[in-house]
Amino acid sequence: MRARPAAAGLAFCAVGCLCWNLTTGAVPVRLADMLAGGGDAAFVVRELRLPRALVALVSGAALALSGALIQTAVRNPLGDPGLTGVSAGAAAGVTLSLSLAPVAAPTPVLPGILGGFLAGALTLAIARRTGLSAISLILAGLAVSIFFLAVTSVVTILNRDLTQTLFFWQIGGFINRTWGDFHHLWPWCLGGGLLALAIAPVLDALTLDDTTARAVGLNAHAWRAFVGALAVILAAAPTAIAGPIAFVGFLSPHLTRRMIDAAARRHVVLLPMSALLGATLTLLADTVSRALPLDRSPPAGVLIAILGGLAFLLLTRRSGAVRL
Amino acid sequence: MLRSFLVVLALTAPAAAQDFPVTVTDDRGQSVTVAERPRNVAALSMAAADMLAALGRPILGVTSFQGAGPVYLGEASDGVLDLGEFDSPNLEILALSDADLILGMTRYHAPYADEFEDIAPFIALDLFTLEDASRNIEQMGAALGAPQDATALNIAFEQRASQLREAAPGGVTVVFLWAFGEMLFAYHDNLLPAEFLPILGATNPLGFQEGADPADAFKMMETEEILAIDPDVLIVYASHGGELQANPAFARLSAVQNGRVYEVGQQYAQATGPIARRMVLEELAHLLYPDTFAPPADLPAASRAKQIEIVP
Repeated sequence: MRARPAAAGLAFCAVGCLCWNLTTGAVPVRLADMLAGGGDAAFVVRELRLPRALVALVSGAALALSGALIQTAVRNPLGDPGLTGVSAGAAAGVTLSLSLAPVAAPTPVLPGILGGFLAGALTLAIARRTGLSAISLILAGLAVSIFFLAVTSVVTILNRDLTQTLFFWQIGGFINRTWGDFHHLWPWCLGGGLLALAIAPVLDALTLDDTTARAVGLNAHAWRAFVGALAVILAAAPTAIAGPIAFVGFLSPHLTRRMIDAAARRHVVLLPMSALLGATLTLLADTVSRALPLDRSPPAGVLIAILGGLAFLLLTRRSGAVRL
Repeated sequence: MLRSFLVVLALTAPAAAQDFPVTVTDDRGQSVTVAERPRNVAALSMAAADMLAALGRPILGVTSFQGAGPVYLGEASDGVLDLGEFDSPNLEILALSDADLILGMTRYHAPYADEFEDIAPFIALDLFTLEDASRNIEQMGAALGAPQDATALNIAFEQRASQLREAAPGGVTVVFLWAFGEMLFAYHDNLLPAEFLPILGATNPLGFQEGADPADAFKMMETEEILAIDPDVLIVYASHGGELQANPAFARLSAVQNGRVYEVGQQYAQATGPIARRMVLEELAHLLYPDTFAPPADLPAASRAKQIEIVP
């Protein structure tokens, strides 16, 4: 498919999911009430549903961008914040900060970013020893994730009065997120996203091997490190606000590449389309979670993990990206 | 004050002599034989410690709930052995504690019955509903050799509940809310303390959940649902860490605007012990109808409900 119709289709889906999300919930809201702008219905949409939907949208977009950047930085199709330990590191950082300052830490994103950096660097250091192959990256990411999950578990167990709070945050989701959460989130994601777009030509060059990249005047090592750092920020910020959301970073760039012709797979096209797809996935998961007629619906993080896990298996099996 | 109440109770209802061994059928349906009058009783729930305190018996050890012991029992719980968190008691401490009876909960402790029974006779009780409370108090009373005292505690509670029922003005809606970060849960009517509301002429808009296990009768709440319900009184558990302040929906609630949001003590989370049962009912009566009922005088200050101010 050509890029423009695919992008238009994705944008249509994202807007459709946003509208569905804003009109789904416990309180029946009519379009006329929303547009009228006053009363409880307008308040529910403006102050409760809209910030939550925007947190879901921005988180999905940022995670998708992060996945695309990691895949480019390590030239590996299995690059994903979850699979490379970044999400687990961010989760450990946030869990530690929550245990130290349980009442709404002033900057919940920063500890997440620090944890994400540490985990990402560890994964890269381990995987680099075996040439950053798909298998070495995923094994190193697994080991680092297990380590940081253990750190998270220890912190959770040591803070019994916060165990449930930390448990529900670690499931991942957007329930009851507020404008405050959105304001913590958007600057990191917008800044990271714009930077990623600005260096799109460099990212195209990084998909080549380092020798070729050097031939066109790039310091490939330095750029890969910068792109990796950008990916960590884009993954850690939504993790800090919404908890760990798996597979969006892996699936979105993958599915986007499948949608468009090989000739159109330049980062200036791939990044915004991946972001749109990521936003659509998280919005859709959040809306389905709310629409389920259950007393305790699974949060969006759980739904994405189930569907994303199945899609991951399907994609890796078909593409042969992993052969054990 | 609580100690005075216990002394009065002990004097007015002396423990009837009961021959041992006694056999009690617990909530697993298991017959448990207690060979001798127990003197070192380990309480794996606050309700069991509460029962011991109500009978004026020493508490060997008690588990904690979210890191805290049964503060509402006052001096009765001072200096007792910390047996760990209620859902994962420390078996090593228990094994070295010289316990001669272990009172646990079916849901959390029955799966480890073999380990407990290696230490001492183990009785598993449901301890979730008002009906459980009455039955479990009788079972514990029998195991402790004080069946008549247990019956007296139930009768006294029934009488107190009747007094409150007759005097309660009624017409108030109440939601019991747990806040774990942004995740909010509210009680259905299937378990304590929501079961107290009909006694007090109040209603829980979430109602009774048919077919639900009482232990799971919670609903995950979105803030817009709470806004739609708009209860007159909001009872919040000590779990919340200020999240209610961050959510603009709360400032619009009638309960918030009328200053009727209360953070309550941990006795509300395990309200099936004889002391907690009475204290919670009496304090709820006061919170719902402050002009009609006084708060329970023997409730320690640290366990009393506190009004929460939510500033938009």
